[in-house]
Amino acid sequence: MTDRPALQLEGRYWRYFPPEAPLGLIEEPIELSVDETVFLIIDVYGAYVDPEFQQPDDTPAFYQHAVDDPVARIVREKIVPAKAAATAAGLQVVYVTNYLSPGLSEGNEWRNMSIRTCGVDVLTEWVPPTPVLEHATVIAPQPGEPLVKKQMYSGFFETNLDSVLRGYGAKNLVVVGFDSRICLGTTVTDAMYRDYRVVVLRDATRTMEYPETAEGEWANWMAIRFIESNVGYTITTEAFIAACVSIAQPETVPA
Amino acid sequence: MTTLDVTGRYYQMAPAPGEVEVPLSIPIHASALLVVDVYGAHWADAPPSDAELPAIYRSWPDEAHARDVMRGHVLPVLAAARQLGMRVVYLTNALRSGLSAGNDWRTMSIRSCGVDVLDAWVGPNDILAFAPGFEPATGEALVEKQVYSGFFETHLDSVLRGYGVRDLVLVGGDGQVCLGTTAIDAMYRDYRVIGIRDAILTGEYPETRERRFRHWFAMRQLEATVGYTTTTADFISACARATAGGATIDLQPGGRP
Repeated sequence: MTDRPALQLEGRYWRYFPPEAPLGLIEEPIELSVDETVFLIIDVYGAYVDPEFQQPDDTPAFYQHAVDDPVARIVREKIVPAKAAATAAGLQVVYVTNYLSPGLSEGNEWRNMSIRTCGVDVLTEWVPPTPVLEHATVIAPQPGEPLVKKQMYSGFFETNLDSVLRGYGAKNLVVVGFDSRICLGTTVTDAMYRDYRVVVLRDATRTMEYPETAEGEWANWMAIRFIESNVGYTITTEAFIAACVSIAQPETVPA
Repeated sequence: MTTLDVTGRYYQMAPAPGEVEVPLSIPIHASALLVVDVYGAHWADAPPSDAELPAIYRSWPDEAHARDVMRGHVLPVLAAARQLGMRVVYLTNALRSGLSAGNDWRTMSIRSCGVDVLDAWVGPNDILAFAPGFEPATGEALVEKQVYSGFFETHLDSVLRGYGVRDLVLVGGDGQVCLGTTAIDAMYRDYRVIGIRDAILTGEYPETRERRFRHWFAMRQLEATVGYTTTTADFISACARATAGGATIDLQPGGRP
């Protein structure tokens, strides 16, 4: 343990009770020891996040992104600054990312579901090297930042993520990345099962909306509400960075 | 091979978003009806007083709908599956030995639900008891879990593998929490998942009650990122057809047929 001060945050959560008129959202102070907190970055892959990236013509429809893609903007404008602040404050950074695991069979249910619902056969589209799964320069893992590879949604399913986090003495996870209702959502749920306290930067995540939910971004709203009511806390990127800056050594504070 | 033939619905996200219906053949010998979290004395035909229970376990804001799902859909599905001789496996919440006071799920439950499971879940109690008609029948496995997913630190996977299960038909609740996370974890483990969407109960937030949007969202999640959904009527009809067709399911005790 060090004598570094802890991160002081106002975590937001949601109360279900009483059922007829739930008490709803509330914020409460939470204190995160720097030595017991990991900054977890989930599924920020995609070379397209770099503005100068040229999308190949044969990119599957599911992975085609507009120039002003909101996910890329969140990576550049929220996650990159949040990571810099976390690093300056002394937090260990850990990445979780998708890959094609050796031995995935043709009959695998997840592979078939991906073909059925996403139009993506991972047995061909995820074969490396592919810009689909590469990190853009701006958010690529740096030396000393482990990269845990996963096949399914959750970063804990058949991976060494739990061992990595325990090895760093983590009890708290500050989480950013994608997508809020699938990979990030299931990973933070599995983290709570394993007794980690979870804090998600709610404006540093997003989900793919359905046509019925796009107006108002209700799918992301539901994902955030689920985290706040069934998993842990959320805060804003701005509040997280301010908390990091307040405890960082002056020479490590990013410009 | 005797099959249950139902119409499965999934959601295609790309290239053109939309619901798609396909015929599904469920081999009865390699399937199970997974009954998730149908506990609660509250679901009895004549429920006992709930005045002493934590607020979250009292009547639902939309009690008539909730009872219709549990009594009007889950129970008939159970009856049809049992009549056919389909495997039935129960999954239910329990207070497991050794849960510590500092456990994050316990403190989250206090914070978000107003329930301290270290007190409220000590048995016997009306919260976790099965109402008459909802109990596991003789020979039906009951798997106890502590957190949402039925696969986390339980022997559910071993039970299902032991029965030779490949397809899982799901009923119960909650569509987004325990049943929803169990369905995702089942897909990870290579089970094909079919949720009976009108025999699944999902709690609503105040903002989602009017249109039952949280349930819609949970079923869309199942259809888009996990497996398929079907309906109670379709499942029961399929059971009836299989029975009329002379299906005789002779499952060996505790083993593969």
